[in-house]
Parts: sequence; structure tokens; C-alpha cells
Amino acid sequence: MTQPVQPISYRRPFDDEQELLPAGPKPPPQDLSPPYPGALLSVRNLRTYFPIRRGVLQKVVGNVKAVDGVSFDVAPGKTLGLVGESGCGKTTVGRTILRLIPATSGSVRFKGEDFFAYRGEELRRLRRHMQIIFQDPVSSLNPRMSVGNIIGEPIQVHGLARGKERNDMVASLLARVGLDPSFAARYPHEFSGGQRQRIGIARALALQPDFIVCDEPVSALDVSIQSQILNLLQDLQAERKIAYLFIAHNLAVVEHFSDEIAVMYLGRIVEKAGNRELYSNPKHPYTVALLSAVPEPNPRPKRHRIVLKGEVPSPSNPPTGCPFHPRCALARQAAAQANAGDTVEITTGGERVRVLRKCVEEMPPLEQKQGDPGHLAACWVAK
Amino acid sequence: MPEPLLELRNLSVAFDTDRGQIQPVRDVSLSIFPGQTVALVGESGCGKSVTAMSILRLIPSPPGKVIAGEVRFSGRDLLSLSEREMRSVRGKDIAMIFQEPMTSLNPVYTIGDQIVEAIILHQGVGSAKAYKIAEDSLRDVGIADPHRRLQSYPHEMSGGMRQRVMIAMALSCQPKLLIADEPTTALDVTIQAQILELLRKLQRERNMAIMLITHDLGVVAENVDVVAVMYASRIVECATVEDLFDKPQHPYTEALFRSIPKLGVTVDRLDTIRGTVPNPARFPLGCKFHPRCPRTRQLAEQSPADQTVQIVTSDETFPVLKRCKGEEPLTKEIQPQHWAACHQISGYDSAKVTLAQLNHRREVTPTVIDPATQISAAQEAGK
Amino acid sequence: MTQATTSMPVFDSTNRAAATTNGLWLDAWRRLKRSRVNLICLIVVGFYLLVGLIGFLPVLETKITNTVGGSFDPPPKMMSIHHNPFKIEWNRKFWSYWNKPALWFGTDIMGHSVFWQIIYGTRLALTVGIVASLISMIIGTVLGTIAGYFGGWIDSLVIWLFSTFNSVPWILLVIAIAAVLQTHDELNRRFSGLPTVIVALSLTSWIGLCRLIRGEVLKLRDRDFVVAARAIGLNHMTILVRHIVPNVAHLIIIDFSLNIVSNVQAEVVLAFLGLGIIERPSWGRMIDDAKLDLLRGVWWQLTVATIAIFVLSLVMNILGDALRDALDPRLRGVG
Repeated sequence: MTQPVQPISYRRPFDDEQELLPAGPKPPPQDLSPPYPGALLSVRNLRTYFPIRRGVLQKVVGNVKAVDGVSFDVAPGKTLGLVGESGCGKTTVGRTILRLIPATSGSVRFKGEDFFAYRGEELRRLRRHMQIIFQDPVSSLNPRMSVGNIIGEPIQVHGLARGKERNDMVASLLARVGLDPSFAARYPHEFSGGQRQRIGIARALALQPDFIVCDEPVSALDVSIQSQILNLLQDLQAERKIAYLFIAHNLAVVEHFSDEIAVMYLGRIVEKAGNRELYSNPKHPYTVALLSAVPEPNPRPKRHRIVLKGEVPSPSNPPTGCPFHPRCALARQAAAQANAGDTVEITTGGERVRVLRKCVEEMPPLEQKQGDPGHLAACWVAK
Repeated sequence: MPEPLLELRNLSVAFDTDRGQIQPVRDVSLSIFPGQTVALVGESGCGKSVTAMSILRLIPSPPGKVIAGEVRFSGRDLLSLSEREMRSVRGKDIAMIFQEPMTSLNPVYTIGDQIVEAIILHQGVGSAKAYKIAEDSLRDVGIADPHRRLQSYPHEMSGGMRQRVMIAMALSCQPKLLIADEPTTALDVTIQAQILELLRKLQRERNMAIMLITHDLGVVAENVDVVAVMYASRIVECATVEDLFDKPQHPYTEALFRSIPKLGVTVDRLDTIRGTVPNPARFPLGCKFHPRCPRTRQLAEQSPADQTVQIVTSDETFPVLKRCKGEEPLTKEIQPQHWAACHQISGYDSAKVTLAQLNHRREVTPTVIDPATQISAAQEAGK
Repeated sequence: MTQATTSMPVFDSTNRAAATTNGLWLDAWRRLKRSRVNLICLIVVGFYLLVGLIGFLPVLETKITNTVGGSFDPPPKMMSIHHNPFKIEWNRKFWSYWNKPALWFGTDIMGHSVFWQIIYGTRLALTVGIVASLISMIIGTVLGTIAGYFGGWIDSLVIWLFSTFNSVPWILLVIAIAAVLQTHDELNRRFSGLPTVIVALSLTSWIGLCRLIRGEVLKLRDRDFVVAARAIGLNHMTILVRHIVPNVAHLIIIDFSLNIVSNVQAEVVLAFLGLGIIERPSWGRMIDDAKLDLLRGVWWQLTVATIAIFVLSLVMNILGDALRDALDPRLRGVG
């Protein structure tokens, strides 16, 4: 009989420490692949940890691993969708890429240049090409500034235009996002949610970026307004060849909007595939559960529903090995068919279950699975 | 035919604001039978929440007041009860759960204190007995280790857990009707699936009626028996869930269905509803939907000029039918068991205004499968 | 609908934004002037400012030192009531004082005019109130915004600073500062001790505002519009000035208006303690001087100074609350 393994807090060993931890979990896999040729943005092994401080001296007692080793590429003019549940780190990924939150480690290459190496004035110049659109249309606009100033500010700061020329640019941006150019003199509180979201889009467009992080751009909007904004974003992409990182929790929206989708769980990408491939041929058990949980606007649903037990574990103390193993059905299924020596008993949500030993001890790499080329998943069991 | 549990008859609610009176609920009629789930669907500001609040007489007064109509619950008119009698209805016969479980729980008391308070108030039992009931009701909503959880504070729990506590609290007094105001909007899809499954299970066990207020058409399609669609303070369409999704009659419902992205259905571009959700302070005249309505616009283009009228919006000028602009349609029974409010539905003129009463139960409920055994089946079904 | 190359802009067709366009400031002003009480208070404040300005006329320096009558001459009586309360004896000479304002409020022990003293006192009170509030406003705003915005050790330092200031009893701190500054330096003597009072009061009254602003900035810092400003590439200074401070301006204004009153009142306390303004009739000194004379039936000096303080405090408090209602976005309802 093997001893039940309690999920223990797992610290990544420092390089020189590895020798001291022979029996411990293996280090997480590193993605060493070169930037995808022609990629606009290449992210490799991105980690963002938030220190947890305690006590009078504010000693660091642990880390919330919001993003823990994320790698992906975005091609020019294409959309990568990033889905996951709250707390999975998808918003942090978007903000870390834009350097709005400092990264703990990893690299971001933008147009072939190491974005994380830039400082000062050079950084500011590069920021022009990477913008962000927010979820909350109320908090994303400064209530004390007129719409014209909100949209005109980036134009002026980057010296693109000033005076009348600037106002003309603002007017044409407003017209482009479907608002009356005379709205420039008004203030944000005079507008509805959808209109505010258009103003936020106009502000992001003002600098003619090549890449925009869309952080849940439609989740706060009314249903009948969502499709307007999605279509607008789509048209702008077609017109200006903008690449999007589209972050959302609504799978139907992401599937509609993205060329490729990455599913995140506890700070990692667990599966990545083309939008249709992901829907029709999901590999990772988490993706399967997530897809089945989306309610269908059809009174006679055809799909089976998997209701995942338990909740997402805390990112400050993620499970060892594959972070999904305590909730994973595949790991249990596989354990039932495996030799007793390859399995291990764990306690999860008050019940004891037997799962594959490998899932508990080793982090699965994100690797090619059967299906379309480029369909990657991080799972020991799925083929 | 059995008696409806709750019956709204021509309910109208008005609010006094500094810009004059607004009517967030106008002429709303709706019935809920024991054990039935009725959805009130609509976008922000359509009056769905105010309708629910006025059932429990919880609208702030002043500035709000019921200006017409009746709210009958088990044969009693709730609007004529004294405040004291009403207090015994609230929580005991009719319970309510809200969207944001964090703000509806008092952060300075333990979960146990808050549940027990309601039990002692409504059931007149001693403290020890009340704790026992509280523990049982936490167990009923699937909270592990309920005895320990009674001692927890709201901030120690996750969003899904807090919503379970809210449900436990609401159901501890065995209400006959549960009003759920966007109960899963703040939750992730996998947690949403858990909560909806829980509500279905509890409903079956207790033959409880549920009034589900939501804007999510997926949640509606999979969980309710009867749907009432609200637009601009009024029920514009009411039918069984199958009827509504198969044959939507009102152009708003129809356009709404077309504008949402559906998982696994690929379209290049979503259909949209033009314009924005109207603000109750500035409703248009006539049919409240006519400035956004694709149907009246299409029909107007084919009609003789004397039946149409040009309307001017911020940028467009287009014709609509005179009747749509001039006269607000009533909610009529345009087909047996199907109510809608639109002049342009064939048979509208000869249809009668009747109270919407639909004692209907849905045919299919989504199959829930245990992830541990059936994951590959779901994977198959997804294909 | 197939190809997505051209798009049709979807215009807001049902409800356009209100026809009038205005910022939050204009809105606030409109809400403020809606109440008649607020308007009356504004007029009263204007009157005080006018009187204060008159106090700056050079003539006043001589007016307050000139002897206009005997020691403790009472204000002119309008009527006298004797033993029979029904028999009122009107003072026929009362109206003949109309052109002798110096005598309206009587005289003090030296025979100086209380009327001119009050006007001069208004000048001193407003100077102390406004200048001290301005300085404390600047200290509080600067420290509060940088503490809240940057966080980290700067925040810890500012917290430590205001906790330390706050833990010493306020009055002791003022006394200490006043005692240190009240050495016989040139500046102090030239301005009759005003600099001491102003420095002492401004160093103690910034704490409330600083704490308030720090908390508010802490919330604002993570708002999306600030994140957007950083994504645009604005530097911290510009973000602070253009995006943060305008959003706490309402707090600054409200605090400023209420601070004026508390500084005026604090000056009275200082005068009672024998600190502060020297050789000039501030309201505090007038009250301090008059407290013993009250027993001799000399009520006018105390009454006039007290009324001057009371009315100013009242209207400024009403205005402060009205400003809070008008400016604070959280309290605003629909529309």
C-alpha cells in the first residue's frame, strides 16, 4: 500500500538547490521553443507572482502564482483567445505583457524585440503599438475628462498631432467607432455602457496599435450590445490588421471571436488549439468540463453536462504535479486500469480517490496531441 | 386548472426622480404555479429586478410606489397586507437570493448567526434547534463539513460557496416561492452549473416555485418552464420555453436570439440590434422598440408612403410604420398559450388581451453525468 | 451578412445623451445652487470676505488704536425698560448714531472702537483661516496622493508621519510649535505673530485630508482609466496631475472649506492660552480680553466677537455639507 499523498505546497527549487531535493517533485517544464516565425508577439515562460506579506516586518511568506509559466505566440492580424475561470490568471497575463504589472520571469518579444528590456523613452515609444481595452466601461474612463480629451490625450502625448489636427483625429476616431463626432465635448457619465465601451476602443485606436489586449470587453454589456462591440472589433481587425489577445470567460464569445484559443487553469495554459478544433475535439479534461458547462440557448440540450466537483484551488498553494489532478476524472479513470504501483490515493473534497501517480508528482508539459497540428494539451492521460 | 401560486395582474410601479416620474414596471401580468420555474428575461433597466422587488414590497418608498395592479400570492393580495403581515411573508413564504452573495451577507457575523437569525424569527424555535436546522440546510446545499462552516465568516468563502450559503439561508424556512435575481451572473460557468443543478434538485424535492431573473438566454433555455421577456418596463413576450425558442414572435426576442454567439455554430459575423437599451427616463413614444426594430423598418420600406413616417436618430433617418411609432401595442394572446406585444404579428388585431397563465413543465432537462465515470461519453457527445 | 470588410456604424438611435453638455463641476454647481439656504450662505461668506478686505485698508491701523470714547462705553441703546415692563422708553438719540459706526458696538477698556476691532479681527481670522488651510491642503494633498499612488516605503513613511503627528495631543503640538516660533524674530513681530499661528495650525490640520486622500487614491490607483493612462505611456507625474488629483478634488474642496472654520476657532483657543496674535485685535484676543470684563457688565465685546465666529462657522458648515452632497459622486442617485 502506498501512503496517501496530501497536496503539499510546492516551491520551485533554485538551480543550485536541485541536488538537495532528489525525491521532490521535478521542476516544471520549460518552453524552449524559439519564437514562431513571423509572430508579432512571442511570450515565453511568463511568470507573475504576487508576494504574500505577513507580520509587522511585512516578511514575504509565500507567493500567489497568478501566472506560472505561460508561453504563446500571436500572429499579426490574428486573435488568440484566452479563456479560464476567475482567478486563473488570464487578466494578469494581459497586463504583464503590457508591463502594467511587473513580470517575475520570462520573456516577451514584440516584433522580434525584447520588450522587457526597454526602459524610459524607448519603452514609451513601443507602448504606442500595444494597447488595452477594459471590461468595466464605468471605471475605464476618467469621469473628470471630456471624451475629446480622453481620446486626444494619447495623440498629444505621443506627439502625433495637436490643436485642430488633433480634434480632427478625435472626430474621425469617434465616427469610426460609431459615435457622433459632436460627443467629444461631453463627459463619460452622459453615455450608456455600450457607448462608453466604444469610447474606450477609440482611445486604444488613437495610437494606431498593432496589438490590443481585450480584457473581457463585452462581459459587462447588455446582450443586445455585445454583438455590436464584437462586430466593431472584428471590422477594425480586418481594416487595420490588428492582433488581439482576447481575454474572456464566456466560451461561446471566445469561440466566435478567436482564431486560436488557449485555456488557462491555475496560472497555466492547459490546452491550446484552433477555435473549431478546440470545440469539436477537446483533449484536456478541464476543457471538456468547461465546454460542457456552458449553457446552450436551446431548450432541448443535446450535450451531456459534467458538473465538476469542488472549486479551483488557491494559486498560492496549488496542487503538486498536474494542478488539475484533484478534480480530474481522467486521472481516476486511468488509475482504475493501471498497476497499483503506478497509482496513489489522495484526499480531495473530503473523499479518498485513487489517481495516477504521475499526475500527482510531475507537471505535464504542453505537448502536441492527436488532432490538428498545433493542438497542444498538458495532460499525462489524454492522447 | 390548479390555482397559480403567485399572480401579478397589471402591475405598474412608478419612481419619482428629479426629472419627473419614471415607470420601471408597466402593466406586467405573470403567473407562477407551484413547482414551476419562470424566467424573467431582459437587459439592464428593463424592470425585471423592480418587478421582483415589488412582489416582496421591497422597493424604496418614496420615491417608488405601486400605482396599479395586484400581487396575489396563494389567494392573498400582498399589496393590501400590513407591513407586519408582510414581514412574515418575506423569508418564510417567499425567499429571495441576489446576484452578489458578498454584499448580501453581513461581513461581521458568522454564517451560522445569519442563518439562525432567520430561522428563529420565522419558525419560532429555540437556538439549539435552529442551529441544527441551519446545519441541515447547509448540508442540503452540498457544503462539506457544515458544522465547522457555521462558524466561518463570509470572507473566508469563495463566491460559489457564498451563493450556496445564500441559498441555504433562503431555503431554511421552506419557502413556497424562491425569487432568484441573477443568482449565477457573478459566478464562473463550472460553478454556475453546480448552482443551477443544486436549485433544480432542491426544487424537485420540495415542489418549490422559482422565479429566475436573468439576462443569460442559455441559462433560461436549459432551466426554466416558462419565459417572460421584458423590454422597456413591459412584458413583450411570454410563452413556454420550447415555444419561445422555436417560434419567437416579438422582433426583439427574435433579434436577441440571432445576436448571441452559440458554441459550435460558426458565423463570420453576428447579427446585431442597432441602438442602445433605452433609459426609463427617456423612453421613445409608441412601441418602445420601434427605433431599434428591424421588422418595422423592413415592412416600412415595402409599404406605401402614407403608412410610414421618417424617424431621426443621432445619425440615421429611416422610415418606420406609423402605427409602431404612434401606438404602443398591448400584450395579447396572439396564439394559444403565447403572448406577445407587437402590431406586426399576423392576427394581433383579432387577438385578445388575457392574463398570461401557463401551467407548463419543460420536457427535457440537461443530463448531468458524474465526471468520474463518464468523461469519454461527454467527449463523444461534444463531437 | 457574409463578409466583414466594411462595417455599418451602429448609431445610438433611441436615447441620445442629454442635449446640454456639462462636466461634473458644472453639475455640482447646479446642484449646489438649487437650495436657497446654500445661496444665502454663499452671500454671507461673500459679506465676510468683503469685510475682511476692508480690514486690509491702511486706515484701519489707526482706527483701532484711536480713542473714540470713554472706557467701556456701551453700544447705543434703542430703548430702556424700567420697572414696569409695559412702559417702554424709546431712546430718541438712537438713530443719531447712524453716521458714527465707531460707536455702534461700544468701546473697550482703552476707549477703542469695538466696531473697528471686529472688522480688523475679520481680516486676521480670514487670513489665518485661509492661509493655514491652503498650506495644510497642499501638504495633505501632496503627501496623500504620493503615499496612495506609489505605496511601498513612501506610503509607510507618510503613515508613520501622520500617525506620529496625530498621537501627540493637538493642542500640545500647537503650543510647542508656537513656543518654538515665537522667539523674537523679525517676521513674527512685523506681522503681529500671525506667522506663528499659521505655521502651527497648518502643521496640525493636514492629517485628516492626507488620510482621506490616501485612501481614495489607493482605490483610484487600480481603476482602469489609470491603467489605461499607463498603457498610453504617461509618466507618473502626468498621471497624478491629470488623472488622480481631479478625482479627489472634491475631497480637497470640502476639507478646505471645513478647515477654514476649525482654524478660525483654533485661533481663539490659542489666544486664550496667551499664544498667537500679539498687539492686534483678533477675535480670539477680543474674547480673551472680554472674559473678565463680563463680570462688570461689559457684554458687548464678547457678544460681537462670538456672533462673528458663530455665523461664520454656521454658514461654512452648511456649505461644507452642501459641497459634499454636490460634489461627492458616490452620493449621487440616478441622472
